[in-house]
Amino acid sequence: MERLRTDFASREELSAYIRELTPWALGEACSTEGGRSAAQRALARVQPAAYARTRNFGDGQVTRLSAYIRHGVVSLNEVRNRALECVPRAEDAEKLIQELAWRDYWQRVRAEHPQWMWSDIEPYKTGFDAAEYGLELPPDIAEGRTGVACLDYFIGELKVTGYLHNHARMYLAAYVVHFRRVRWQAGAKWFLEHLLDGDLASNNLSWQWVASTFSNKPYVFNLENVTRYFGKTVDVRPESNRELDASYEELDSRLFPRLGGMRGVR
Amino acid sequence: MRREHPVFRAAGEAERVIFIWDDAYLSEQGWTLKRLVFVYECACAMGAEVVRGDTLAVLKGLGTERVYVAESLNPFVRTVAEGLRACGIEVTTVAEEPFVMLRKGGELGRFFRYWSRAQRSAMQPDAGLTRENLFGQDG
Ligand SMILES: Cc1cc2nc3c(=O)[nH]c(=O)nc-3n(C[C@H](O)[C@H](O)[C@H](O)COP(=O)(O)OP(=O)(O)OC[C@H]3O[C@@H](n4cnc5c(N)ncnc54)[C@H](O)[C@@H]3O)c2cc1C
Repeated sequence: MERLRTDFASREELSAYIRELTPWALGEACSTEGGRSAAQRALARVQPAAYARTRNFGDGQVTRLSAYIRHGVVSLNEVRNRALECVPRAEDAEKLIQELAWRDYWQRVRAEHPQWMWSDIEPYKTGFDAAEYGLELPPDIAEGRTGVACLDYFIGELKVTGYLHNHARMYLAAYVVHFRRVRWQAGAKWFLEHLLDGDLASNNLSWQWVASTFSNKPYVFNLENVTRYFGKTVDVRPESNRELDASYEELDSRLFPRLGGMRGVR
Repeated sequence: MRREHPVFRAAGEAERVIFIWDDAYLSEQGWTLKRLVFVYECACAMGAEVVRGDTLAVLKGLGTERVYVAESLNPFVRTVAEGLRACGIEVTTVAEEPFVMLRKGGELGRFFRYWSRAQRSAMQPDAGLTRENLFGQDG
């Protein structure tokens, strides 16, 4: 039985030690600090009312607690209690609590249906059969050189920080599955390699939601949507994001030609 | 991974906190270095002994009669627990603090069906439970 070191003078020293322990692991360490104190600092910054107003925006007041929650460093109960403590009326914390509930919900789905984690729950509602989707993640996506500037930016962020805003996760998932017609499983596996909060239930079921194998219609987005939510922080110029620069009607007929424009109303 | 998890309350004072660095398991996960560093840092911060080896072999090698584990949906945890029980070691699985108590109502269904059963409890501190109920949920 080999006891490993637990005392390190710095995070650099710790990272170097882990690199030696795991020569097979790819990439570099990132700046998100592990441990209860770091989680408590993030918890202290939670602002439920601002969260409700701004959470959809790239620079909105999201909590960034997901990696701590995923690894049990804080519980959903503790986050909810904290959220209720810092608002005058419980309703002001409802949006945040509902998002926490999404995690609880996905875990319950997994507990009931463990076999759903890697298999299509329902057929795609895209006009395409599962067999028509690629099996592997194309290398340009893995490497962040799709030629779509905003997506390449998000991919870089995922790889360097191990974190992505919920909207950016939805964009990348929709791009992989619907713009590139690759099975959601390939994208889900890729996310799980990189996300610090990587969680089989939250991740794979969200991918299935985007893909439409666990929802009534495929999720897609266009450049206008990215501009609205990330326009301040990301390159959203049409000339650097041609593939996304289209109306939803155009996208529907381009991406789902067999549906005859019937993807459903957003 | 926190000392406040109900598993520590259940284990009591005499506990030895062990985090097992299982190379075979970890490499199978395909995690990149950033996540491995994060997880290791969490284990150190919690004051755990970090021991390297095959999970089942390490636990058997401790010479203990009883192991407490935090409840998990991970089938690996169940396999290890079964392996321990097979050699006569008692395994106590302790659930996380509950986030909601769902009102009765059959199938889980899609999210908003779940939410209609969860909302009332979700909007109360400790899911509306007393502290005793909150921590008394051994699995
Ligand atoms: C394709 C895709 C993959 C995803 N993969 C993961 C994953 O592997 N792990 C993961 O924890 N989340 C995943 N999510 C859900 C969500 O994107 C992240 O939980 C959230 O962005 C984390 O950032 P935050 O902590 O700042 O969230 P906040 O918005 O501040 O939310 C607070 C907490 O609530 C929970 N939460 C919020 N939204 C969701 C949601 N939609 N589903 C589940 N839990 C939620 C998380 O625990 C989060 O930390 C995924 C979403 C998509 C669309």
